[in-house]
Amino acid sequence: MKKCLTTLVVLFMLKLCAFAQERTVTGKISNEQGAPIQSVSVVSPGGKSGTQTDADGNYKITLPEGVKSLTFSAIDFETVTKSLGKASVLSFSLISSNTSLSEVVVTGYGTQRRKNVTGSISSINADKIKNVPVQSFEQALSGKAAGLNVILPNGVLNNPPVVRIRGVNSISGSSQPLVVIDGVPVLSGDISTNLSANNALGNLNPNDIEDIQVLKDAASSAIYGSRAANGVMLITTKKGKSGKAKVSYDAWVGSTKAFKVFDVLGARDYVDIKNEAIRNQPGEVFNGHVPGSPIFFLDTLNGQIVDTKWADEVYQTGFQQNHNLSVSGANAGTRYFFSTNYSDQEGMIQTNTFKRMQMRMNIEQKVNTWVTVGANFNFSRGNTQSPSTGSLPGTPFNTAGAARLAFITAPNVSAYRPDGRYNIMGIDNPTLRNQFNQIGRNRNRINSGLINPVMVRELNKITSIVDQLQGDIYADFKIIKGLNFRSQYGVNWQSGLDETFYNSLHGDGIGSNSTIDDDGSAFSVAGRYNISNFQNYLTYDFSLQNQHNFNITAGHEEQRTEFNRFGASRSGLTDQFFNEFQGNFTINNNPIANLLTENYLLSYFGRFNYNFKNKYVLSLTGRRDGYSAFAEGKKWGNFYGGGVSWNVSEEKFWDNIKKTVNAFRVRGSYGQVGNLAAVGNFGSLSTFSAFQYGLGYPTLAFSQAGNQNLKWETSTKLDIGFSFGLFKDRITGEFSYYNTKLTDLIIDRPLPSSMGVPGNSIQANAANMYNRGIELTLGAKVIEKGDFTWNTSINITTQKNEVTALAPGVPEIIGITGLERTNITRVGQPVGSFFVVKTNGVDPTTGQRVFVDGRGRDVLFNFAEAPANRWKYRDGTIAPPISIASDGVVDPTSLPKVYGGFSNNFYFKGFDLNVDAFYSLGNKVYFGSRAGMLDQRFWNNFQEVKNRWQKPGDVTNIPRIVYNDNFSNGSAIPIDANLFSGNFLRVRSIAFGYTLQQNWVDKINISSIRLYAQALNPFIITNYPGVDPEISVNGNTALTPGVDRNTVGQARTFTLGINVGF
Amino acid sequence: MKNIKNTIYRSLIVLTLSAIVVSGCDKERLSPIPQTVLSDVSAFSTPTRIAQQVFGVYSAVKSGQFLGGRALIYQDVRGEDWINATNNVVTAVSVWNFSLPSNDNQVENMWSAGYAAINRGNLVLEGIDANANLIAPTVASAYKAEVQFCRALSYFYLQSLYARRPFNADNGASASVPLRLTPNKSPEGANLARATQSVIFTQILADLNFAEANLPATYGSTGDSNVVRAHKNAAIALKTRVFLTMGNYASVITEANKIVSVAAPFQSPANITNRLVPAVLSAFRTPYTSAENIFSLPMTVNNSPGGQNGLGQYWTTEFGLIGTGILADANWKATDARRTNFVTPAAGSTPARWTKLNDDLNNYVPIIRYAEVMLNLAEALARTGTAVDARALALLNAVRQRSDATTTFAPSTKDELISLILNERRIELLGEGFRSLDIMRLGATFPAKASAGSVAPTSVSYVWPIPASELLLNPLMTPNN
Repeated sequence: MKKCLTTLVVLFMLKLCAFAQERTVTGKISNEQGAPIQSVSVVSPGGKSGTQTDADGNYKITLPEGVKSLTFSAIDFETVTKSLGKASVLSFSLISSNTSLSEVVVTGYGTQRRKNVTGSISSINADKIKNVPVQSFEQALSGKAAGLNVILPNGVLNNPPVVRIRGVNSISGSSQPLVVIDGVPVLSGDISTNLSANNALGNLNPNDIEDIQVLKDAASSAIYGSRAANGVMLITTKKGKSGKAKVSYDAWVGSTKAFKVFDVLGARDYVDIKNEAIRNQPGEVFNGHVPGSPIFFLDTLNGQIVDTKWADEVYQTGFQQNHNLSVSGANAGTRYFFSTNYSDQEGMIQTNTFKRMQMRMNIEQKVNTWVTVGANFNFSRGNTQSPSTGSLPGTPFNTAGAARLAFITAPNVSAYRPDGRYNIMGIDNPTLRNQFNQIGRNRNRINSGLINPVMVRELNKITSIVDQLQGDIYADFKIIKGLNFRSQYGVNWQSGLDETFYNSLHGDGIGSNSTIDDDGSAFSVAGRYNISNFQNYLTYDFSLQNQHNFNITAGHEEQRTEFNRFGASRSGLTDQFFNEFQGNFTINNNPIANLLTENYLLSYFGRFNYNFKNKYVLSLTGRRDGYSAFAEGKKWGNFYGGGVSWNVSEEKFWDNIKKTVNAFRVRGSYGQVGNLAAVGNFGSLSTFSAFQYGLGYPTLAFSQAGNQNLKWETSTKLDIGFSFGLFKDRITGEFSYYNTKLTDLIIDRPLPSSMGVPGNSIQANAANMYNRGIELTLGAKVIEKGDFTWNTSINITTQKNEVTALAPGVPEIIGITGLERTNITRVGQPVGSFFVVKTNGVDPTTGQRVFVDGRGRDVLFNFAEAPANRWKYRDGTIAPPISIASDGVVDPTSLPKVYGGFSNNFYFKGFDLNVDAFYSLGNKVYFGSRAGMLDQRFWNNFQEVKNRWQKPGDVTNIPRIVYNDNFSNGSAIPIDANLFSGNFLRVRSIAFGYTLQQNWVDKINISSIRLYAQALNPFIITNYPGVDPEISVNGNTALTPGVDRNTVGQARTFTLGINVGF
Repeated sequence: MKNIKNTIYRSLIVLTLSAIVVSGCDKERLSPIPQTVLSDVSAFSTPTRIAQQVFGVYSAVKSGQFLGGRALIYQDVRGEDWINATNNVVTAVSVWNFSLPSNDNQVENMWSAGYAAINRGNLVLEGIDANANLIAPTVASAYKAEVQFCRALSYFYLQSLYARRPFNADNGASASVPLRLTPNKSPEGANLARATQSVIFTQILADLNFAEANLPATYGSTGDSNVVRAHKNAAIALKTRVFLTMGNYASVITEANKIVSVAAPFQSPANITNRLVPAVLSAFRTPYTSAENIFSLPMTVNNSPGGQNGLGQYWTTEFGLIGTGILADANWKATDARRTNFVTPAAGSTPARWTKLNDDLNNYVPIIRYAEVMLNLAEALARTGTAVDARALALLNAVRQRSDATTTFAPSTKDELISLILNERRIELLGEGFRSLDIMRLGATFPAKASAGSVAPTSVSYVWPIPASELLLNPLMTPNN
C-alpha cells in the first residue's frame, strides 16, 4: 500500500509545460444571479500566465502571443475554458457546480440529487447538533429522524448512547450502525477498559459536523455490503465556502445536576422500619442478639442525630464549559476549514469529568484543471474520569457502584467519624478492616455490608484517555467531463491509556488475603486501535439526449483493523502517598486486558443509477466483500440492493394539482446486506490458549470451540414509501414501510455445560428474526408572517420485532443483568423480552407476597419461617421454592412499539426559540432498583415501604417486612410487580436565543452575534416511578434491554451560550 | 485532438494507479493467524505442547470454582461447624443454609467447572493418542494416567453433590451425573442422560487403577512435582476415599495397606515415603511440599483461585467457626496444635476464625493428605473388625498425638472407636472439604446450625439441584426431585 501512496504523490507533482508572447485581456466574472465572484482563477493553458478576479469580479491578464483560450475556475463553480478569438474583453457568468447540500445527499462513495434517491435516507442538519451540551454527537440525535432511535442509557459522561436504526438487527452482535466520517469508517462505542466510560465518537467535535445522513434501507446502504445491516451514518464535516475567511467563535457554559433522585427513608424511619423487620423475624439470631430486640439505633455524633443523605455525597451540581473557534473559506484553488475545540465538563456525579481538546484541518486544493487533492484531519484527546458508578454494562452489582450506594446505604451511619477520619469498620485494625471492608456501623448492632462511597470516591482514581487521529487524504482525477476517479486513504488511529487506582484502606482495593498484604491496587492498560482504509473508485456521470441520465460508480476498498492492547496490574501498596501505577507496590500481578487481534476486509463495489428525465429512477448496487473472520471457504459474500422511484409530480397529468401538491414521489427498494460485527476475529477457529499451573508448569488448554461454517449475518430489507410537498413545500412529508428479515443471525449457541466446552457455547449462524414498521415524517412552515416564523416537524416510527428461529434444540437464550436473569429470548417473542415471576399482590390476611408458580397456582412466601417452610400453597401445604427457571414467564414488552420526536422553531425579529422533544411508547421498564430498595437486609428503603402490610386486613402492595427478606420484593428473583410502563415524552432541549441587530454588530466589525440560553432534559412526562424510563443499564446489548438496575439516571443541564461570526 | 490526447494521458495514469492498487491487495490477509493462541491443528504437535496440555488439565481441576476453592468450601459449609458471617448469596450462604435454587450461580458454576476439567481431560487423552508417535509409549501412558487421575477426581466431586442420593442409600442405583468420556468440540453429542452412581464409580475406579499402574512412583526430589502432579500414592490414596464413600471397607484396607505401614511410625512402604509430619502447621505452610501432602493444588500470587473463591478468604472472612460446632468439643484441648495454630477466638460479634489455610495467593490447596488416608484406613479397620481394632486405634492416636501428645484414646467398644475416628476427621480435616462427604456417605442428617434448620436424607435439599441450564439444554437430563 505504501507503494501506491508514493505513486500518488509523484503524480501530484507532475507539471505540464507550455510556451509564450504578449496581449491583455480583461473582464468580469459573475455568478448565475449576476453577483461578482471573487478569487476566480484565470489561467492560460499550461498555467504559464494566471491571475485572479478581485472583489468586484474583475480580472486583467497579460498573455503571450498564441494563447487561444483561458480557463476560469473557482471553488463551487464549474470550470470553464473559453476560446479567446480576437476579443480583449471576456465577461460571463460561471455556473455553480456544487448544488447546496439540501439538494444533494451524500450516499457513500459519492453523492446523489435528493429527488433521485430511491432509498430511505434521513438527513440531520448541523444546526440540530451544534450547541447541545453533550459529549458526542449521537447523544444529540434522539428523536431527530424517523427510524433512528437514540437512547441515553444514563447520565455518566461520555457513555455511548444506544443507537439503533430500524430496531434491533443482531442478537449477539452490536446493533450499532456503521459510522463513516468523510468516507472513512471509524470505531464507535466505549473503548475504555475500566470503569471510566470513553466513547470513541466523543473525539469528534459535534460543532465540526456539517450534516449526517442516515442510510436505512438496502438501496442506500448496500454499497456498504457486509457492514450495512444496522444501517449507516454518514457524517460530513464542514468545508470552507467560497468567499472571504469566516471566523466563528461558539461557546457555552453551564451547570448540570441529576434530573431526579430517589425518595428514600431518613434515619428515623430507617431505624423504625428495620427494627420492625427484626421483630418480625424471630429466627434472626447472631452472636449476643436477643430475638426481637432492636439492632438499629439513631446515632448521635457530637450531639446531632446522624441522618446522612447519601445522594448528596454522590451527586453534585457540575460546571461545564465548551469553546469552539473555527476559520474557514475558499478562494480560487483552495478550500479550507480549521477548527479547535476545548470542552471541560463536570458531571452530575462527583469526580465524573470529561475533557476534550481537539484540532481539525480540512483542506482541498485544485492542483490543475483535472486534479484536486485534499485532506481532512482531526486530532483529538478525550479524557474522562469517573468513580465506579455501577451504571456501565456488566457493573450494576459492583460493590462500590455509586448509583446504588447513594440510596441503599443506611442513613443512620455517617461518612466520617467524629474524629474526622473516614467511617469504616476496624479503621485501626488492618485485619478487621480487611475482613469487613465495610462502612462503619456506628451504633447499629449489625454490619451494613456496604462500601463507604465517600472514601472510595475521594481516594480512588479511574481515568481513561484516548488520543485520536482521524482523517483522510484524497485525490480526484477528472479524466473527461463527468468521469472522475477518486483515490482516498483514511485512518482512524486511537491510542488509549486507561488507569485505575484503588486505595489500600477500603473498597475495591482490598485484597482477599489476610496474611499477604495485597491491599491497594493499580491497573494500567495501553491500547492502540487502528483502522486503515484505502478506497479507489470511478464515477461516471453522463446524459444521453438530455433525457437519459446515468451515474455509474465502480470501486475497490480495503480496510485493515488492528487492535493491540496490554495492561499491567500491581497490588500491595506500600505507602498512602502513592496513587499512581508507577508508585510502589509489592506484588506485580498477571497482565490484564491483553488483546492482539486484527481483521481485514477486501471489497469490490458498483452502483448504477439511471433516471429518465428525472422522473423514473432506477438504482442498482452490488458489493462483494471478503472478510478475514469468516470461516475458510466462507470468506466471500455478495450483497446487493436495488430501488426504483417515480417522481409523479414531474408528470404532465400532475400539472393541475401542482399548486397544491407541488411534489409527489413514490419509491421502493429491496436488497440483501450483511453484518460482520457479531463474528469474532478468529471466531471460526478452535483454539488452545496458554497459561500456567502453579509455578513452572506452563499450560495449554482448550479455550474456544470454533465453528467452521461461521459467516456473516444476512439482512434482507424491503422498503416502500412516498414523499410529498404541499403548497410549495410549505408542508412536506415522507412515509415508509419497512420490513427487515434477519437470517443467519449469530448467537452464542448455548451448550449444556456438561459438555465442558469453553464458555458453554459455540458461535453459530443460527437465529432468525424480523423488524417491521412504518415511519412517518411531517414538516411544516406553519407561520411565515412578517417577522414571525414557526416551523414544526414530527416523526413517528413503529417497530415490531419477533424472533422466528433459534438454533435447533435451543428453546431460549437467557439475558443476564449482573447477577440476575432479567430477560429471555424465545421464538415467537421479541428479542430480549422480560423474564419475571408473576405475583398476585399481597395476601391481606398474612401480609405475605403471593407468587404465581409455573402452573398458575398461588404460592405464599413467608421469610420468617425456616427455609424449608417458607413457600406454601394457599391451603397451607409446602410448595417447592419459586424460581425463575421453573416459574418465570415471558413479558414481551421490553422494546418500544412507537418512538419518535418533534421539533418546533419560532423566530421573531432577532429572537429564536427551539423546542425538541422525543417520545417512546408501548414498552415497559424492569425497575430492578426498586427490588433492591425494598430489600429487607440492612439496605435503606424507598419511602414507599411505609405502606407495608402491618395487620390483618391491610390491603397494600408491600408485604410484611421481615429482616433479611430479599425475596418478597424481587431482589433475589425478578418479579412482575417491578415492571412499569416506560412510556414517556421528554423535552430533550429548549433553546432560546437572540441575534443582535445587524446594523449594531456591523459597527463593531462583527458579522453576527447570537446569545442563547438552553436547557437539556428540562422535563419529562411519564408515569414511570424510577428516576428515568430512558435508561439501559446493559447498554447496547440486544438480549437485555429495558433494565433499570442500580444505575444513575439522566442529568439536567442549563447552559448560556454565544455564537459569534467575524 | 489535444483533448483526446489529454484524456488518454489521464486515463493511462489512473489505470496504472488502479492496477497498482488492486495488485497491492493482499489476499493472504483474509486468513490471518492468531498470535496469542494456538489453533487445534497445532495444539499437540510437539512433545512440549503435549506436556503443557496435561498441565492444562490440572489447571482446570484447580479452578477456583472447583477444587482450587469452592468445591471444597461447599463440602465444608454444608456441615454443622460453620456460621455464615456475610449473608452473601454470592459466597455460599445458600449452600450453608440449604436453600439453593437450580439456577443458582454456584450450582451452575461448579457443574460447569467440573465438566470443563473432564472435557479438557478427554481432549488431551484423544490428543495424546493421535500424536503418540511424538513421545515414548511410557511417557504417553504416564501422561494419560495423570489425566485420568484428574478425571476421576472431578467425577468424584461432581457426583458427591449432584447425584440424587448418596451411594449407600441404594447401593449406587440412583441417578448421578452424565458420564462423558469423549471430547466435545462442537454441538454434537449435547444430549446425554444421567448415569447411575455405580457406573460413575466404576469409571472412577477404572481411571484410578489405570493411573496407579501407569503413574510414576515419584517425580524425583526437585521442585513440587511430587505434590502437585499425580503419582502412584496419590491414585491409591484417592481410591481409599472412593471405597470409603462406597462403604466398601475391605477395599479401603486393601488399598490403604499399599501405602500405610503395618505399625507405627506409619508411613508409606512403597513409592514416595508419605507420612505425617511432626508439626501439623508445616503441612499447610510454605513450601507446602511436606511428606504428608500426597496431592495438592499449587497456588502462587499470579496463579491463585481468584477473589471470592479461595479457602483462606472463606475461613477468615465469609464464615466463622460456630460456637456450638466442633469448637465445643471438650476433648479437643486448648493446647492441641490444631487449636493453637489455627483458631482465632471469637471477639464481639466476630465469630471464631480458622486460619489453617489463610493465604489464597500462596497457600497450596491440600486435596489428599496422609492424615486422611490414616483415618480412612482406621475407620475401615474399625468397621470391619469385631472388637476395638488395635491398628485402627493406633492410627487414630497417631493422628491425635501429633497435635496433642497429652491425649491417648482408649475406647472400650467398636462403636466408640468409630465415633472417635469420625470426630477426629471433623477436627483433623476441618476446612479441607470433608464434612458433607462424611455426613452423606453415612446417610446422616445435616444438623441444624444458627438460622439454618437440619436437613434429613429424605429432604430434596440433601443434595444439590441439577443446574437449570443443563436441564434446559440437555433434554435427557432429569432434575433432582
